[in-house]
Amino acid sequence: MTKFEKAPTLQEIIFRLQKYWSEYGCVIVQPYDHEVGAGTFHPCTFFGVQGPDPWKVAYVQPSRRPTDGRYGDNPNRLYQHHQFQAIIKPSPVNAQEVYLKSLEAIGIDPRVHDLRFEEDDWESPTLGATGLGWQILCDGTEISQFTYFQQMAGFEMKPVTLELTYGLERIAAFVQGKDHVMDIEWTEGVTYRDMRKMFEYELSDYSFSHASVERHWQFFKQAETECKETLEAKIPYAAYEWLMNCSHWFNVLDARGAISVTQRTAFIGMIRSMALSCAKCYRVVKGIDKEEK
Amino acid sequence: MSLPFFLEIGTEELPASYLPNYARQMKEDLENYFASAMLEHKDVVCAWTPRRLAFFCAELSEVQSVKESDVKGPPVSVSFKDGAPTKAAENFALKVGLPLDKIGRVEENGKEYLFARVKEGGKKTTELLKGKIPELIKGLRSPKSMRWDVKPTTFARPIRSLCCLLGSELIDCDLDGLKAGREIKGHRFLAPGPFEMEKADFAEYAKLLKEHFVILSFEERRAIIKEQLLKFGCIEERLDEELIDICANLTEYPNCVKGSIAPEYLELPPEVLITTLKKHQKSFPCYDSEGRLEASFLSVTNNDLKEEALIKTGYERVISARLSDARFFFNEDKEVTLKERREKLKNVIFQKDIGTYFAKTERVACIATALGEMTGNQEAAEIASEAALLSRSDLTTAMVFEFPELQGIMGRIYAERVDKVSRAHALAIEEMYKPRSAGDDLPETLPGAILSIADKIDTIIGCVTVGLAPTGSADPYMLRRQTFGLLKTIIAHKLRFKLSDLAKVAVELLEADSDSFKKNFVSIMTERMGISAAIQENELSLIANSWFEPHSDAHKLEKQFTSLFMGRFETVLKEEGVSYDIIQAIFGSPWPGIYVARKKALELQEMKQDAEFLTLCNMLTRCVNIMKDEKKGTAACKVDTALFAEKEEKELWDAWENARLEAHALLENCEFGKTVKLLASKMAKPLDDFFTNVRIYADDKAVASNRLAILKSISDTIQNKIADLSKIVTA
Repeated sequence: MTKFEKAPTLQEIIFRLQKYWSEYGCVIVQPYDHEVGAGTFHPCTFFGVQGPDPWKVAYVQPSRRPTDGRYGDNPNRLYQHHQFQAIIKPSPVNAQEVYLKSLEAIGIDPRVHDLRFEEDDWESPTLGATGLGWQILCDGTEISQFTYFQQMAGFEMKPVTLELTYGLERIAAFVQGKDHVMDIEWTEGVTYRDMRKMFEYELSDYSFSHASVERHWQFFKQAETECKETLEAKIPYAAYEWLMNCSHWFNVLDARGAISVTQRTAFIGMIRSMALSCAKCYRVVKGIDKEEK
Repeated sequence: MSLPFFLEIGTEELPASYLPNYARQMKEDLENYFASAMLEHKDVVCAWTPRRLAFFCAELSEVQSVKESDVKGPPVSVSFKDGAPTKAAENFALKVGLPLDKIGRVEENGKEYLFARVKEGGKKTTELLKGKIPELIKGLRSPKSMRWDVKPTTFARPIRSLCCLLGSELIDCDLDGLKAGREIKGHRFLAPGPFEMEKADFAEYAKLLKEHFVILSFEERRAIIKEQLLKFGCIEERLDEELIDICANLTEYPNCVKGSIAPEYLELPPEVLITTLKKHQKSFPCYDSEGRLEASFLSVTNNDLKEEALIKTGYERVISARLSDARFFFNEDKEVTLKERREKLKNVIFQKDIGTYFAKTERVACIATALGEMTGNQEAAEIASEAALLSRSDLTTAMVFEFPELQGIMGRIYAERVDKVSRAHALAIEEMYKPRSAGDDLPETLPGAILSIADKIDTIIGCVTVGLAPTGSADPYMLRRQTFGLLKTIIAHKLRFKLSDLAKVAVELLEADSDSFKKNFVSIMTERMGISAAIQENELSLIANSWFEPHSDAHKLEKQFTSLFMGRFETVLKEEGVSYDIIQAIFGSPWPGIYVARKKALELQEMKQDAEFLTLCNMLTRCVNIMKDEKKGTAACKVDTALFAEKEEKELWDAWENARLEAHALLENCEFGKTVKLLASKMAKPLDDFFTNVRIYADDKAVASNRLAILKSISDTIQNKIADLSKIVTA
């Protein structure tokens, strides 16, 4: 970014990333209409990485982390933040260069900043997923996660998929030089505060103080049953939606402080087992694997 | 002829902690391979940056050495049938790689065998390395490795280039489709290059890299960082060398940027400020000329800082956000006293079979009180015991949740600021954790020392009891280190008590506390202690003896406990320069407690320079040997002066009577060195004269047994009161 160019707004950053990845060959898909904790949950990633066929998609995914809710007061933490995710299978030889070029597209010139690839081994116990890669630091601020998926839902990735996750609020605050997320310019004349403050406040309040623990237990149990039964019909997309629900309700219960250490392990185990079953079913339906007799 | 050899493995950013190991492994593998492949070579040198592992050998033979050897084959009788070669002959020809008509015969013991002279080696180095280099790279091991793209290769991060040269020849290795070339990448942003290597020349390689903003040598990067840190405001004695290592392994072109933080953050406890900088941002705190923290920091960048202001602003913003979080945690934590937090410890598990931290701190408070009684330090123990009931509460604070390494330190800070306890109490809470690592300071205050000992013995006894005694390299609760710290603290604070008494207290408390406690262990411990008390010896001497007799039937748990303590105690002594024979001499005498045993050991060690002392040791060895030989006669119960027949035996006895009195007075004050010196000067000569001039086994059995009684009196007394000097090596 030259000194005279105005820093891009949040929505401009999204446009530019979409344009960049579209030109790279990614299909631009839409956010999934379910509550999720991270872009990795989007079926385009969860299912898309399975099997040998090339796959390139990119999308914005609003991601909810009820325990991170701070009523819109904290400068960096949010109940719901926005991730931009690019998924490329197989990972390309010039993966790092392709990523760095995308930064230039959104106004970050790696030559003049201290841009670093620092070891970060990623793991999602709920999805049975692992990956190796880096967190990308720009002048000390983490702006992206760069992951070579090794496993998803317990299946070895062959070939390996590259997952690039941009923390959109972090990046916007960084390029716009804002100290508080609420001060980010969403588009000209409109701040993040205008758009999100009330939502952040209410959802934080709900997760920490109002969400009915008892009903959320029931939601969880019912959704788990629904997921299992739906799988019997061999319709993995439909079953997987209930997994996303379970995962979210688990996070709400966690924010309510309703989950003990031992329960946590058990819950994570249940969700992982659903994830494994969904992926297994998907692979059979898709013809990647043969059905076990 | 020899040529220089060069190899660069170009990678995406490797984890900092893997780098040195990777490079050293490969260097060794190369050297081992060169040797096994009969390639004459000089030592291989290695270097690394986050994006490359580089190797160089100044001289590597262009061809393999040639080795000729004679190989004997099957007997001729089975090699041919009806004049035609059999399978046996064909196999032999195949094995030695020669046509049948080139195979000779040799006669051995009248029998004829096939025979061949085989030439090994002579292959071109480039041909050998072509296949070997990829194999060696794939053989490298790291804590975690990954696959990438569509390749079967595994490595810590993707390998993107290979350059392998012998002289100016490119060795065209192929690593799962990645072909070696001459291209070398420069700094990712400042001068990506790539440039080409014409020949294997390490100096040239380093020079070209430097032109491309890459400093090849880890030591050089480290030196640059250190120099800049010191220049811009770090203090030498407070430099975190480990963090410098990490930064030197995270950068190719290190440059420090200095940023400032809002002065209000200096109101945070310094430990919080420093930990936030180091752990979250790998940055260093700055100090003013009087050693006080300054409102600034230094971060190590991988940039030439042409746009320093831009980078500085970025770092300032992120560090300020981190400090703002830390201040938030600190202020939140201060809303609740440690005393109030205590209740929450009922839900924090120390170890699943032992129980909660709440129960642990209750026990530790009791042990501290008991230790005060045993050592006559009731006042300090009262502080320690009260501090115990505030300790560990900081585990429930947001700050310790964020920075586990601050436990104890936050305890001290909150105790003083929130619970408003005395400085002594607060310090004890922090010192309980000391020493935290091998080289760390010991607790300085007496209450801190008492609390630290109490906490450690509770941990050790608890863990051994539930089967977590260290085995081999496995020691998950770091019991060896804790034992070591415990012993050193006892010594540093000159605490004189029987460790086994304290262990007994710990065992009883734990028994009362824990369902899973193995009653068996208690009964064995108490039984042993009961017996020991009855015979007025220290129970640990029995334990020590059982340690030297691994086949005795002592209970397994007790043995683990003992071996842990005695093993660490031996290490403490060895560290202080006490030799093994002295340690054995000490262990051969009734156990006087940790503090006294160490004093004894040090003083005896010093006496090893003294010729008279060594003579005394030799004399005592003779005594012990004579006592062992019971066939020739046994000692009388008591020495009868009326039976003295020779001048020397009377002189010996008189000398002993005298020396014994004087020695007794010295031993009262634990003056072991002086005692031994006295005994040596008074007893060495009379003993020598006795052995030289007196025939011990006189014809008169009563006289003989009286003479043995003299020797027994001397050697038993010395062994019981001081040490088994016969164990000392005098040669």
